[in-house]
Order: sequence, then structure tokens, then C-alpha cells
Amino acid sequence: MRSARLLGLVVPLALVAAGCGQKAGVAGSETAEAPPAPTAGTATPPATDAPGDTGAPDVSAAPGDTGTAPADTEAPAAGPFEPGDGDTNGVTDDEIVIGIHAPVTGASPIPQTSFEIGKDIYWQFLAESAPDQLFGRNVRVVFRDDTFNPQHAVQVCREMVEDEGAFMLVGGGGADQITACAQYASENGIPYLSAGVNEEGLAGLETYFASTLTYAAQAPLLMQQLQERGVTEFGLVVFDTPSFDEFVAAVEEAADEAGLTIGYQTRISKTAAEPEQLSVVQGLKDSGVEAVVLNTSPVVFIGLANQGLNQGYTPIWMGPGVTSGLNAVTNFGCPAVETGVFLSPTPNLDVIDSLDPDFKTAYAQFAADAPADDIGLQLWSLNKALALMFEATGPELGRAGFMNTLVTSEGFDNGIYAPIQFTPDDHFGGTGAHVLDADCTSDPKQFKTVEQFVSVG
Amino acid sequence: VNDQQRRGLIVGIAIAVVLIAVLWIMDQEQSIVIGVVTGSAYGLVALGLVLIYKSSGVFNFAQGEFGGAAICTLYLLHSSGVPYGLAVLGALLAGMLFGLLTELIVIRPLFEAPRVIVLVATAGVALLAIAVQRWLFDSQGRPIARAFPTLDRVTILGVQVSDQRLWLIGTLAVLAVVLGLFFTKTNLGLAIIGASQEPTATELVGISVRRLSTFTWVLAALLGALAAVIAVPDTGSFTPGVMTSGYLIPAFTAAVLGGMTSLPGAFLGGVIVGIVQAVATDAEVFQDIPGTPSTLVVFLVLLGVLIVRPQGLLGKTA
Repeated sequence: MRSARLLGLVVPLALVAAGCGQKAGVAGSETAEAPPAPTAGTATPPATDAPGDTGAPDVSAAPGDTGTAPADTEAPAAGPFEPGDGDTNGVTDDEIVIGIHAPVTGASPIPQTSFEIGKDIYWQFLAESAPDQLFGRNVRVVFRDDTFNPQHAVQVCREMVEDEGAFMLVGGGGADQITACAQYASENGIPYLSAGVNEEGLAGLETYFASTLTYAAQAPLLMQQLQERGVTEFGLVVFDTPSFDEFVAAVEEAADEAGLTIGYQTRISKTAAEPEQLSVVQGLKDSGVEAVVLNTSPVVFIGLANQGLNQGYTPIWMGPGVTSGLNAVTNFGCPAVETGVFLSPTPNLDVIDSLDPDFKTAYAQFAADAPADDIGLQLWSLNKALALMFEATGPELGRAGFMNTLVTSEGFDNGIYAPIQFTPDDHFGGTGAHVLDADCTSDPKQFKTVEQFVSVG
Repeated sequence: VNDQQRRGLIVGIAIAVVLIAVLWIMDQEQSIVIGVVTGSAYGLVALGLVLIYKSSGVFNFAQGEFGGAAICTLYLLHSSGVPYGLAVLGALLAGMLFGLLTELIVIRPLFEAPRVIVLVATAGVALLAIAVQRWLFDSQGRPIARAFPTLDRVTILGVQVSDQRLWLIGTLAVLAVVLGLFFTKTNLGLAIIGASQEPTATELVGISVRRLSTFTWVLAALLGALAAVIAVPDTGSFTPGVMTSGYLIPAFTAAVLGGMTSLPGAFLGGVIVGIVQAVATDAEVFQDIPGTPSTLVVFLVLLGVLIVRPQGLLGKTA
């Protein structure tokens, strides 16, 4: 179990500090009241500089300042990855191409318009506010809908790499699609980054990196949340694909350690129809559990919650991030999802101004009339972390150098995610999460952030 | 009712009795209620499938999306302030209009084409309809209000049955009987059957086969629209394509199980599919089956029935 590891803010990036006039990022707080955080993040290479040396003037030198590569050469960090064929594919003097896939159609739909707008906002903001941060390069995002289908995910990932020339791939959501695409990426030496999902099927992949807590790593946090709400017995409903086995095992173990009882447990299909949903709800209701930990798609969650409402059964529905905690769920799932509580790698819009005031400003500037939304915030946070990683790699950007930088840097803190920390042996970099609570009384209906930067403790 | 149908009815009742007895012994009696409550929606969609198949021999993959058009219209009208009753009426009309356009634009030009071509064409209509819904709603779900707010009108074996569900079950039962009588007792119904079996002879006696086709498709679309506006609101929300992704395949299974030519069979098939899915989800014996037992067991039951009785429970042999 990873615990939150507070990162020393060793070498802040000068351009970020100077160009944006912001302070270094805040490391994960374990309290509900996180202090105001900087809008600019920090990449923290394993430099020999003293912690707190926040005034480092030359950001471009920082990535090389790893102790394994001379700082003044601006060479990529040394590490376990060796450049191979196509190491610099997708990188030119003025552009980096990244490919993102996500299920904008299928059983776990993400609003397509939000995605199309949100994927570019951070990069537009960066190009205008700090054009030299990525050494004169802009980032071009290529996006494909994976339709919530693993086979299709592999197909679109291949397209983005082979046809669009993507330097790296990013998974926007959906455990099975991420696993499938990450395996393709690993076979071809392509860096792949996603929010944490499962570890099974991903743990051995050299080029895979999770920027937030995996489902299994969130299990103790979920038990913590249940205990805070006075729950002693709960139900467990999880998708029936093998990717989720480890989440079930992790919840069983965490429940045991926390002294909580699993009163009802079942697996549910990804395409659960009404009879299946109602049967599961009846099982939960008959067992009398007052809370349900679930790991399903939003559509199945909403189906279960509606069946529960129809049966006069409204337990606390609780689960790991990312998609069930999106405002799209409250938009069409209310009032059934009113009792939903979900962990999330990012907070919601209600507190983002205190963590990153640039977000809404950038939306107002670059999104035309589109309002800032939580999909945009997820993408903003992801891209902001990516920018730190590119910056830390330095001007000589290649796939091997990029991945070496990830595993040798001490961490990346964008001020929205809990700090991200990889090692050569551990590519699951998440260290904490936020807690979101469905609010069906608000207008528009959305999740509100009830705790920030929680970690096990 | 001929001897063959009578035998089918006896087989169907026998299976139902055995199924209920087994479920009671397995402590799964609740699944019967869940099956009837949820499977009736499949049955209503299956009625439309059977209607088209009876009249033209086509597996209509667009049947779900006749309902899709209706549910989208219901949402758009009601969320614009139109009273619920009028919105339902508008939704039914939208579904029928979609059926009419499908017949005029897609089916009629393919009148002489092999049935497999028509089948593929209906799949195309369904995909187009889903794409339009995604475009309209940005691929997102929408909340949809119930016609009747009472959720616990009756409670049977611990399962609350809402007024909306009672409406659905009642509608399905009435339609299954009325349509059964329509096809056996009325001239129009007999003409439709005649047109499907002997189109040339039907034309020779002065009946327009094309007009009959139009009538049948509009009626089937009405059934699909009814299924959607009654069943979907009880789930609280809908997503684009929900009638195809959530109801069409179980409805096809129900229709085949009941006998593709039998309207009461569609009712029975829908309920059986619902019960089997509920049992496969809940019963201990199925818990260790990898994958999705609720789907696997339904298809095993279907396979078993078709081996024993290829024409389905209440269907007629060719």
C-alpha cells in the first residue's frame, strides 16, 4: 500500500515561478482543509540542491541535474530505459504530439464536447503564459473514442501512434481499455500514462505509468471513509472482469484490517441489464447493508442507484475514482445518486479556485463560451502534470529520456493531484485522493468536494 | 388454436411450472417477481419484433430505436414544459413517424430484395438513429420522469412494484392478447399474414401488399414506442441507444424463445428471459461461472429450448 509521501520542493522550475508568479506546489495534505496551493506545479528531479531551494533560476537545467547526468549538458536523465527505434517520434523542434483515448461513447460515456474542448485548454494556456516552458514546443493532442471496448482501444492507440505520430499515449478512463492499450504501448516502447486503475495486467509493463492511486490502493481510503460515516457493515459490487479481481481482494483485506464486515458481495456484468441490477439491489437490501462499495461504470452505478430508489433502498454508494464521480453522473442520475460518495484524483469545481485559479481563467480565455467543467479539470490536471514531466525531461525529449526522468525524479506536484512519485520499480505514482459527495440539491446538480488530499493514515 | 399451438402452450406452461418449483426449492422465488417486473419490458419490445417477422419475415434491428425516437421526444417535450400526457402522445407519434419513414425510405425500395439485405438495412437504420441521439445529447444520459410517481403500489416477496411497472405489465398482457386476436380474427390481420406468405396471391385478390407493409411497420413502431415510454422512465434516466443496447438483444431472445410467430410467446419469452437473468445473477450455483452468468445462462436456456422445440415455445413450424 502506498502512503502519501510528502515531497521536498527541491528545485522549483524557474519559468513556472517567474512566468506565472506562483509558488511551488503543495504536497499532499491529509486534512480536509488543504492550504491554498500554487497554480504552478513543480517537478522535482533527484537533484543535489538543498530542499527549499525554490529560487532556482534555470528550469531547463533542472532535469539534467539528476546526479546521473550533468546539469549543464541538458541531457535527459539516465535510467533503465535505452533509446530504441522511433525514440523521438512525435517530437519536433516546435511540437509534441500526444494521443489520448477515452470512452466518449459506450457504457461509460464522458461528455464528448467537454473532452474535445478540455483536451487543449491547458496547452493553449501554457503556450501563451509560458511559451518557453517546453523549450519552444507546443503540444498537439490527438483524441480517439475507444467506445469502452478494449479491442477498439488497441486499434485507436495504434492509429494514434502509427498514423498520427503520437510521442506517447494517455488513457482517459476505463480499466479494461487502459490495460489493453497500455499493453500495446509497452510492446512498442511507447510511454503510456493514465489515472490509476488496476495493477493486474499493468504492473509488469515497462512503459506504463499511473499518475493517481490505483483502485486497489484506494481500498484502505474507502474503508477510512466508511468508518468516518459510522458504517460497520457494507456490500461490495464490482464488475466481473478479471481486471477488478485485485480490487475485490484489496477491499476484503482492507475491510479485515479496518474491522469492517462485508455483508453482501457480488460481481456484476459490464452490460448489466435490469433483471441483473434489480437482483443485485434486492440482495443488498435483503442483507441490510447501509453502504455499498462499488467499482462499476457510471451507467451501471446509476442503474443500481435507480433500482435502489425504486425499492426504497438508498445506501451510501461509495467507490474509487474517476468516472463515477463526474458531474455527468449527478446531471442525469439524480436523485437516485444523491447518496454517492467517490474518491477522485482531482477535487471538483467548487474548490478549484483555491488550488489553481488559472483553470477558470484559462477556460474563460480559450474555451469560447463553453463553461469550465469537471472533465476539463481532469484534463487540465493531467496535462499540467504532463507539462512538468516534459519540462523535467529537458529539451532533448525522447521516449527513453522521458521515462527515465519519470522514474528518477523525486516527484511531480501540480497542486491539483496529490503528488506523483515513480521509482524504477514502481510505476504507480499516486499518493492520495480527494473525496466528492453527490449534491442533487445544487443547480446544476454536481459533486462537491468534502475532503482534499486524503491519504491513508 | 390448433393442435400444434396447444402442444406449445402445454410445453410452455409445463416449463413455467417446473421453473417456479425449482426456483422455490432454490429459495429464488423473488426472482420470479423480478423476472416478471423487468422481463415485461423485453416482452413489449419482442411484440414488435414478432409483428414484423410475422408480416415480412424480417428480423428488425431498428425495433429498439423506434422506442429510442419516442423516449428522446418524450424527454425533449416534457423538459420543454409540455404536460406529461401530451408529451407521451407526442412520443408515440414520433415513434410511429420514424417507423413510417423507415418503411417508405428503407424497406419499400428493398421489397424484392433478399431478407438478409433488409435485415442489414434495419441494422443501418438503428445505427443511424443512435448516432443522431448521440449528436443531440452529446452522448450523455438524461433524467426522465415517470408518469406515475408511486414506487411501492404493491410489494411481492419483498420486491416493490411501482405503478409504472404495473402499467407496463398490464399493457403487455393486453397487447399480447389483442394482437393475437387481431391476427386470427380480423380481415386486416389475416391479410397481413396472407401477404407475408403469398404476396402475389394477396395482390391478386386486390389487397395492396405495400400498404399492408406500411401499416405493419407503423404498428410495430408504435409497440416499440410504447415499450420505451413506459419501461424506460421507471429506470429514472436514459442514454442514447439504450433501447438497442439494453432491450433489443434480450427482446430478440424472448421472441425466439416464445416462437418468432407467436405474440403471446413474446410475452412469455420476455418473462422467462427476465427470470433467468435474475436467477443467474443471484443463485449461488451460478456464482462461480466466469464472465457474465446472466447472459450465458439465458443463451443456454434458449439453446435448450430450440433443441427440444425448434419453433420456440408457442411458435408454429414452417
